[in-house]
Amino acid sequence: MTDRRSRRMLLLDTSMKVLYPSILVLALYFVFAGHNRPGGGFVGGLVVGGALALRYVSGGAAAVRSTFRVPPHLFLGVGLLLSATTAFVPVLLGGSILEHGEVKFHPPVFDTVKLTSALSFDLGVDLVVIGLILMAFVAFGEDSPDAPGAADDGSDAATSRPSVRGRHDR
Amino acid sequence: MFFLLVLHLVVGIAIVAGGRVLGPRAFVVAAMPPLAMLAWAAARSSAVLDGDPVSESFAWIPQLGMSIDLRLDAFSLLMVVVVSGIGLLICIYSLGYFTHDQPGLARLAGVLVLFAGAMLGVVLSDQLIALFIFWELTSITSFLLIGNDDTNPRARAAATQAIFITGAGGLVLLAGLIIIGQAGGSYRISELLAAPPSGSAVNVGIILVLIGAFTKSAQAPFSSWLPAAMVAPTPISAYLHSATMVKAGVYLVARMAPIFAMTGNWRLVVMAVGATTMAIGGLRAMRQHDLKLLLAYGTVSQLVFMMLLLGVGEYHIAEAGLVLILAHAAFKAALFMVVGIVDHETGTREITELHGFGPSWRIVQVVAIVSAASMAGIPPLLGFIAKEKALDGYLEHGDFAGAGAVLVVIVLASMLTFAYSARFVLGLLGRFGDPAKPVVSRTAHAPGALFVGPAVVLTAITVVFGLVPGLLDELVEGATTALYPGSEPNPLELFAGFNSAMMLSVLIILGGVALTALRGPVADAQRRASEAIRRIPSSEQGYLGVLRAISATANRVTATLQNGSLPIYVAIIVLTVTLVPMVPLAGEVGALPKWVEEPVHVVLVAVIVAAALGASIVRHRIAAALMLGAVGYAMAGLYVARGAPDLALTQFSIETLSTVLFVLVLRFLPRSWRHRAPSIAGPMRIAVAGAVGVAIFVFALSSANARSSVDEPSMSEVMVESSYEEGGGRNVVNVILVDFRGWDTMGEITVLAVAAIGAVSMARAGRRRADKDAPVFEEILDAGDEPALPEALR
Repeated sequence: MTDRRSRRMLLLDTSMKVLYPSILVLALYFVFAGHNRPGGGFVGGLVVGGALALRYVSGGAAAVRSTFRVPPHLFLGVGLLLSATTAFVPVLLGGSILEHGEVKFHPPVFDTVKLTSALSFDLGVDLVVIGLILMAFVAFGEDSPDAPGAADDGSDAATSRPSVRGRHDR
Repeated sequence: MFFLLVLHLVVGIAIVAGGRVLGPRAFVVAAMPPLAMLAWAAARSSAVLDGDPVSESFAWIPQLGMSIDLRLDAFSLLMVVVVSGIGLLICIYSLGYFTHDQPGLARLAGVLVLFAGAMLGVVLSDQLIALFIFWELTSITSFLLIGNDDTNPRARAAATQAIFITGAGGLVLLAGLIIIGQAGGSYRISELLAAPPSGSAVNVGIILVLIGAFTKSAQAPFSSWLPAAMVAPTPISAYLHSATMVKAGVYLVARMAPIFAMTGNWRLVVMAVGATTMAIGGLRAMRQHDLKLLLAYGTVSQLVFMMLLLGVGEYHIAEAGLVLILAHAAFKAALFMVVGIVDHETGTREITELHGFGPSWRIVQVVAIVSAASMAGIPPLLGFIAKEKALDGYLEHGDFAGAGAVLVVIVLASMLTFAYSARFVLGLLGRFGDPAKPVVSRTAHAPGALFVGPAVVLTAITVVFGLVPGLLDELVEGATTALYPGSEPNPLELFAGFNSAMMLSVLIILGGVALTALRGPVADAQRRASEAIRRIPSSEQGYLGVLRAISATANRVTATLQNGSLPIYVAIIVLTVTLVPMVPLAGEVGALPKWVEEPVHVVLVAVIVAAALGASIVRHRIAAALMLGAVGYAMAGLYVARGAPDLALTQFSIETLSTVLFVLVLRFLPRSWRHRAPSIAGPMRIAVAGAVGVAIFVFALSSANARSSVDEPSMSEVMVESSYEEGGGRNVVNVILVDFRGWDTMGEITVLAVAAIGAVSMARAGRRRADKDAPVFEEILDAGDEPALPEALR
C-alpha cells in the first residue's frame, strides 16, 4: 500500500476532515427528516455510502475498514432485525403488521419532538444499506488489480445494480 | 366417512413416526383402520344396497367452490369391501411374512395404511378434483411402498418408473377432468351422470381421462411399470399391484362409462387398447419363469378384461365386470400370498428351482390350485361365474360395432389365461423343476397358520360364492343400478343352461388344455416369434427412451441457455422481462403524450441520449461506466424538473455509489474491450437494445393510460390525502415506503442483505484461487459427494 500512499492527494485529505463529518450529519438529517421532507432511510444510507466512497478514494480500503469498529455484516443483521421488529411489534400489540404508531415528547429546548414507528423502520433500512455498501468495499476494494479470478466478480456488481435501483423505478 | 379417512391418515402417520418400537406388530395397528372401515360399511350396507347412498360434504376451498364430496353408493361399497377387506387380510398376512423386525418395516406398515386411506378416497369421492387428489396420493404412496427398501437400486428404479408413468398419466387425467368439469358445469360425478356433457372439448377430455386410467391400470403402452414394481415385498404387490391400486383405473372407467360410453371415441379406444393389452399380457405371462412376474403379467391381462367389461357402457356387460372385480381380488390376492409364502420359505420364486413340496404343504397347494382354477374360469368357482357372465353379456347384448371382435379376443385371451394359470400350478408343483438346481422346496418348512390363513379365507370366498353366486346378487345388482340408474340386472347363476356362453366356456377350457398339453411346442413358437418382434420397441424400452430423451433435451437446453456468456444471459433476461409483459400492454396504448412540457426537458433528454450513445460507443470500460452515471444524473434532473425531489435525491445517490462500485470492480478487468465476438453480435445487441427501449416506451404509455381509465379517484391522490392521517408523515414517497408499502420495503432490504452476502462470498471465492491449497469452485463441483464446500457456503 506504499504506492497508494505516495499517490495521496493533499487537497482531498484535508477537505475530508471537514467533509466527512458534514456528510454524516446530512445523512442523519435525511433519516430523521425523511418522514416529512425529502430524505428517508434509504437515501440516508446511500449518503453515508457516498461519504465512505470519498474515504476510500482518499485512504483506500483500510480507511473504510477503520471507520467502523464493528464488522460490516453486523450492520446488515441489526438493520434487518430493527425493521422486522418494528414491523411485527404491532402484531404483538394486537394490531396489523407495520401499523403506524407515534409518541410525542415536550423536552425543554425543542418545542415538540414526535417519534414515529416509521423512524425505527427507516433506521433499519438505513443500517442495511450502510452494511451493503461497507461489504461491497471490503469485498472488492482490497484486491490488487492484477489478482487472478477477479474478472468473475465484476458480473455480480453489475447484476446487483438493478436490484438497488428497482424500487425507485416503480 | 370423512372421519374414517382421517383415521387412516392419523394412524398411518403415527405408525410411520413411532411404529419402530412395535416391530412386525405394527401391522396389528395397521389392520385397525380397514377393520373400522369394514364395520362402518357393513352397518350402512342395507340402506346403501336399497339405493340410498350415504353422502357427506366438507368445504375444502370455499373461495373456489371446491369441496370434498364423499358418497357411498353400492358400487363404492363393493370397492370398499375389496379395498378394506383385502387390506385387513394383507395386514394379517404381513404378520406371517415379516417375522423379524427389519429397517423400514414400520414405515412400510404406516404407508400401507396411508395408501388404504387414499384408495378409499378414490372410490368414495363424488367430486372429480378430490378424486384426482386421492388418485395422486395412491401413486405417491405406491412409490414409497415400492421403493421402501431404499438401499436396493432396483427398488428405487422401479419406484421411479412407477411414479413417472402414473404421475404423467395423472397430469393427463387432471387435464381431462378439468375439461369435462368445465364442459359439464359440475365436478360432481352424480350430477354429470344426470346430465352428461358433450361436444368436441369433451371428446378430447374423455381421451385424456382414459389415458390417465390406462397408466394407472398398466395398460399398453404404459404397462412396463407394473412388472417392475414386483420388486416390492409380496404383501405390497398383492395389495396394491393386483387387488386395489391398479383397479383405480378400472374404477374410474367404470364410473365414467355410463356417462361417456356413447360420446366421441370412448368405446373405440377402450376396445382397441383393451384387446391389444389383453393379448400381450396373456402371451407374456406364459413366458415367465418367475411366479410373481407371471402373476404380474396376468394382472395386466385381467385388468384390461375388466376394462372391456366395465368400459363399454352396457350394463349387462358391466355386471360381469363387477363380479370379475370381486373374483379377481379374491383369487389374485390369494395367488400372490402363495408366491410370498413360497418365496419366504424356499428363498426362490423361479419355477425351475421348485421341485414340489412335502405333504405339510397340502393346504398351500390346494389354495393355489383353487385360486388358479378360478383365474382360468373353471366351474364352479367365482372366476367362472364372472367369465360366463361376461361371455353371455357380449353374446346377448354386444350389439355395438366391434363387439364381435372383442368377444373373439376375450375368448382367445381366456385360453391364454387358462394356459398361464396352468403354468403357475405346474410350476408350483415342481413340473418345471430343473434337476441340475439344488432341491430346496421338498424339505421346506411349512408356513404357520397366520401366514396361510388369509389365503385360505380368500379361497373359501372363491369357492362359496362360486357355488352359491346368489349370495352376491344384492351387492352386484345394487352396484350395477348405482352405475346405470334404471337398469335391470339379471341374477347371477352357476349354471344357466346349455347356451352359447356355455359352449364358449367349454371351448376356452379345451383351448387352454390344448395350450397346456402342447406347452413345449407353444413355448418354442413363442420364442421364435419373440425373436421376430424384438425389433418393435417394448414399453420398457419406450420408458427408457423417454428418460434418455428428457435427459438429452435437458442437456441441450442447459448448454444453450447456460452457455457461460454474460451478454447472452443479459439478452435473455431483458428480452423476457420486457417482451413478455409488452404483448398484453401493446393493446392498451392510447394517445401519445405531449412530447415537450418544459424547455429544460429537451436539454436533459439530449444529455441522456448523448451519454447513452457514448456509453455504447466508447472502448474504455471506465469511460462507459461514467457515461452510464451521466445518464443517471440526467434522469435525476428530469425528476427535479417534474417536481419529485425525493426520487431525484435517491437517483442521485444511487448513481454516485453505483459509479464508484463500477469503477471498483472494473479496475480488475482490462481497460478496454477486446472484440472477439462474431460480427453478428453487433446487430443483435442493437436489436435487443431497441426492443427493450420500445418495450419500456410502450409500458410507460400504457401505464399512464391505465391510470386515467379508472373511474375511482386516482391512487396517488388517495395516498397524498391519507399520508398524514394514517402514516403520520408529510413526505408521501417516504410514507409509501415505510407504511403503505412497508411490507415491500421489508422484502427489499432482505434482498439487499442477501445480495451483500452473495457479493462477499463471490469475492472471497475468487480470491481463493490465489491460494493454492484451497479448492476452487470447479474443484468443489468435481469433487462430487465429498463435503468440500467452502466455509462461507456451509
